[in-house]
Amino acid sequence: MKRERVSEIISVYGGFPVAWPPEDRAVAEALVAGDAGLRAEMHAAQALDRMLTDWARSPFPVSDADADAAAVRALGVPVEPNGRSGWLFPGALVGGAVAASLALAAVLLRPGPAVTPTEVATAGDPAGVELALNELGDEQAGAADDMLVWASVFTPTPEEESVI
Amino acid sequence: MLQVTRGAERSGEPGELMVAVIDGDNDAFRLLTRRLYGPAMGVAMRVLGDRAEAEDAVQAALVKLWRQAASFDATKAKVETWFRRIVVNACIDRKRTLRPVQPLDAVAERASDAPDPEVTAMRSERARQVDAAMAHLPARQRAAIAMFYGEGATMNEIAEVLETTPKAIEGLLARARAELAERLQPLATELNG
Repeated sequence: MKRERVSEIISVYGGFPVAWPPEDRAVAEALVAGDAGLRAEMHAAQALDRMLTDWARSPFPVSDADADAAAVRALGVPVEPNGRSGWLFPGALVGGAVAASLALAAVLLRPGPAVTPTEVATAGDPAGVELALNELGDEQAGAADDMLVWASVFTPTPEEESVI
Repeated sequence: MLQVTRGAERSGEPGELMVAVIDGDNDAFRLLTRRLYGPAMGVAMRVLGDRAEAEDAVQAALVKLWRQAASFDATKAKVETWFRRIVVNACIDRKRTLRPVQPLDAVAERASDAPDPEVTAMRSERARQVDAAMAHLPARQRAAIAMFYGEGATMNEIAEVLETTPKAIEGLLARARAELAERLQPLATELNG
């Protein structure tokens, strides 16, 4: 091994022989021992090694909570403000919305007399509505009842209309 | 919902957890993330020099781990090595696309104005100077230095992560050390004195 090779090893691996390639270490150390210039190179390199080791090994604290939050985000699941995963909430919300939509569609698209919530709600005369219900079959009357409830909740009264 | 019962039966060894992750086990993924997150953040912080960017890079790497779990080959690499490669590449991509290396003054100023008191307290003046010098290095050199000095990685291991040859890593480390030696000369003299 030549002096230049030892210098090259120090420039790549630093000034501590323990980091040098095992197959070169013994010979390189022997050459350094007899060469003041190489010893100076090694000494200078060791100072840089200490700084870089401190830099590379300085503690970087992370918690399990940090890791859990990252995992949940990676899985595409929202995190609630209290830090717990919101696994159940979106599923229930979506499921409820789908069920409500299907139920509403089933009622509105049911075959039979063309009775719509608007017609029921705008009939205005409760006696007329009662009469209309009496003319329907049980199943249709049930559906109309549902619509009547729906209309009473979501259709504004004349007083509300005036406010609007 | 997280499958706690399945997770409770596991040893928590990354290789075993990865097998379950490949099967789509959410809880195994959470446990594996706990094992990998700290080291990944450490490497990402050193390559990117910014906590928010490091968190984004590690997040992107975790998404990739989850979605591409099936591409993991246990006969070729350990989970930690495979994931470290994903993290380092995410950092290098991020560094390439986001912004150039910041000048020394800007880094020193930012470090001194760090809003996180924990981080501020942790950093000594020497560490800030090393950070500032590091900011001048390309991301690949920072990654190589972080792995070599932080984890004691061999040339072969670094080459595997950076997808190049061990010989190329030797050149990369030598250039990085030469640049740093010049920039940190006053500090080194102080330390040696």
